[in-house]
Amino acid sequence: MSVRLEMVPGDDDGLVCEDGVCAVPASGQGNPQLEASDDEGDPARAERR
Amino acid sequence: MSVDVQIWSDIACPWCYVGKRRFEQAVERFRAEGGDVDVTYRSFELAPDTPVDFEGDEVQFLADHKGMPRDQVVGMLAQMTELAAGEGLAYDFGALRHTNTVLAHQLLHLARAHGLQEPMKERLLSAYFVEGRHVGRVEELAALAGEVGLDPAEVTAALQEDRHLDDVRADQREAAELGVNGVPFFVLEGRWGVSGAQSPETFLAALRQADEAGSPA
Repeated sequence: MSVRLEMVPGDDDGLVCEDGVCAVPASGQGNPQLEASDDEGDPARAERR
Repeated sequence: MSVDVQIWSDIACPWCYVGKRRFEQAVERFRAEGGDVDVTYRSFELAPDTPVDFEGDEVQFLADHKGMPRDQVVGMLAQMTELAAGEGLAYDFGALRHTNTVLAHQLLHLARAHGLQEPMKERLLSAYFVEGRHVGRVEELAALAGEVGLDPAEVTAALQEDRHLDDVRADQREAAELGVNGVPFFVLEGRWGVSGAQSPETFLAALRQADEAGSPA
């Protein structure tokens, strides 16, 4: 199957779990940060934030 | 028209439970407008290598298996607990029994066949995050299933024989084909994707969009 989804724009606080680790909002902000050291340098994830 | 919503999620996923609550708020408002939804929960294992009987707590799991500093994990779980409380969910990470969730996913497929998937999903999430119940063993899953109206004997046999393992793997393959690498992930009418535990307003807007696109002109 090769379905290409149209992504619905979300809020800044969209919370998601990947690879067993879950993003949490940065303190006092609505911008989530993935609290995992092995995600640094991943442009795909950085783009989604 | 009823909007078809496929939700990829895991049991061991704090944002999946939060996302479920937020989505439910959106559905309630959508139904008040005259709309309707047909929801299916699909399988996604965030940490399939987790042993059934993991020895240690959630802090230890994330620290040891994900290489995160313990202080960072403790802070992260505190933030999750606070955010979940805002949705009326009393997470208890101190009591949580970290485990493998593949059997729980098989149970959700069995529950769907009996029209009981939603209450089973809710029961599993509450058992895991709020009550500190073990959701990785057949006997405990059968007991939880019995609470929502499934036959514990049928559940025990189905799980022991991995009757729904192929269904779980099929869900995971479809997630990969769709490019889903994080959960919760919502697919509306097979066309629109919503990633993460978004606000009820975002979910409601997506439901309206899918409904309007599917309605006759």
